Amino acid sequence: MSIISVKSLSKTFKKPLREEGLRGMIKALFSRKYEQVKAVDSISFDIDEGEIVGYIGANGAGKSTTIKMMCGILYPTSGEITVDGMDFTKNRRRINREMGVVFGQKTQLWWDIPLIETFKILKSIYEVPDEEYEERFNYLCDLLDMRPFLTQTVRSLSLGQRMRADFAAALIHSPKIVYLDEPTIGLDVLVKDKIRGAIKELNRKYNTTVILTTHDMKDIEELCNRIIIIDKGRILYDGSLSNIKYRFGNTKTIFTPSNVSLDTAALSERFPGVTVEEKDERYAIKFSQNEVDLDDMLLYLINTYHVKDFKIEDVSIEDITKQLYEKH
Amino acid sequence: MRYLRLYLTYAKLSVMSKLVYKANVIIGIIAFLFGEVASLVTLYLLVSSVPSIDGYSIYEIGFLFGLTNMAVGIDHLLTDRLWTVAYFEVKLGKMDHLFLRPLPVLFQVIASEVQLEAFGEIILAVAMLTVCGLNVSFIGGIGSILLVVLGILCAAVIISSFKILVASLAFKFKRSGPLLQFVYGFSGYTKYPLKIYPKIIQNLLIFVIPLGLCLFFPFENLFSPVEHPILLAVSMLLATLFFASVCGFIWSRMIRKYESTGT
Repeated sequence: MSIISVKSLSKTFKKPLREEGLRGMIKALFSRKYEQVKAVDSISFDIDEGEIVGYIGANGAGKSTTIKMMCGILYPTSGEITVDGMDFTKNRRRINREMGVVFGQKTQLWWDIPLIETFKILKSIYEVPDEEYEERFNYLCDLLDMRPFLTQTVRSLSLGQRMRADFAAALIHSPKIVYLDEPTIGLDVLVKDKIRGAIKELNRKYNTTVILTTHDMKDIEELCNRIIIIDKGRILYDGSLSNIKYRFGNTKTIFTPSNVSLDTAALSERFPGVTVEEKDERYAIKFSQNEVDLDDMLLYLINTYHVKDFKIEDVSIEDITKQLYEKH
Repeated sequence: MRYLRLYLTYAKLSVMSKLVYKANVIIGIIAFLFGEVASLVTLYLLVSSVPSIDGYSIYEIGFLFGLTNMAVGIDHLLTDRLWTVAYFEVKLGKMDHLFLRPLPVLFQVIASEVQLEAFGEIILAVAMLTVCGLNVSFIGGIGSILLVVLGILCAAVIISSFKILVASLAFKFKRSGPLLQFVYGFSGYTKYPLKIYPKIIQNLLIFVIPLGLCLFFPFENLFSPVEHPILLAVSMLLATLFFASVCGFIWSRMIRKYESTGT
């Protein structure tokens, strides 16, 4: 059942037209010329309860604007957002109760006071009953390993600690929907893993719906079963990760050390469509699984060249988005 | 009741945050106290050379000064974050998190800042009202005093509402701090008897921004009681309610124009 429904959603920003330099700025003071910048252009989609959706696009594609409209920060220019059957613009506060939001680049914690105080006030804001709060708080403390820094002021926390705390603060009221805008930005591998693990766990345990924007494709590949790709305010793709990988050739790359003396001409003859690149002392053998069987290729490499050491990589979502952008 | 409880929780956190920087708080209170004392000394030097202004003795003017300062001090204590909204927060997109919580944005703006520096103004106001109050002869009884108290509270609400209105323009123009600075000066007009101003200013302060109605009329009532004090109280309440509602409505429309910043 769909928990979020977005229909023909648009956001236009009015920007004054300015020429360059100081002269341009002064002229703009007396000019009434504006341009309409369409950050989001009539997009529609539905998200089902319990889905983890990756909302991706290049910088300036309109993904943060969409997320900000979906969580109530920006007022849409036109279109509709319905959450749990309620129109967002008319029920902002009620819907906010069911939502948790994490912005990787902006904290929601009280800066100058011990972290624990933020959780106490959030308990009052969301009217979380004592027992439920205790259970949830302890669960999040353990999940995100927060106990060592609960009594520290927020401004003294490291980025990794602050992000874990921000993540917990967004979840303390057991929201049905969680928006994560670049939640792993600037974090080290260990903290990234912790955050990803927590997202998976929450989704599994509480069926929490997660909408995630990120530039880290590992986030998408590890977490999302569905992706929406946006560019210039319009949706380029909405569907499963496996499907788009298939559409874009279902490419696999096998890396082998370059000391195996690969005969690239023979390889290309045996498997038409295969490309071989030699870089950083290794071969990258790239082929579409729609045309070449992976097992055949591996057997050929092992039997012909006695390759013992290889690494297989799927087509990366980064490559796919790049190709999608180029197509449009 | 829920909002009162939440307000107290927010206020507690605000005071805790302020007390982290103790020296800053103490310097702030002293600076405001000195600023107000300087303005008071200027007033004293101006009026001490003449026995009265438009029939008001120096102590009566001092009492009116105290009333205005009390209203300004209460507003300063409770709604100071509106200044940072008008100057920086909208422009820098610092208000995003306020739109994410199940509470009105305005409530959060107001509740999240208790400005301890305002005690500089409040301490001075109490001193002025005490010293000058002991040196003037009031005719009105306890009812007149209650009317004055009501007037202070209404005036504080009007000043805050006006600040809300002007601060909300930042959602459209990105920054309304300088304009807020300019119009905030209006509250200074009620430090002096309304009658000394031209008719147009008098009408402005009674019918448009009813600060004069709520501060000067109850002040006058202490010396020459009006026939229907209840009617005056009701007028003050209705004028305040109307003014605050208009400002609140404009705020609620303006916040829709919030644009945040790119991430």
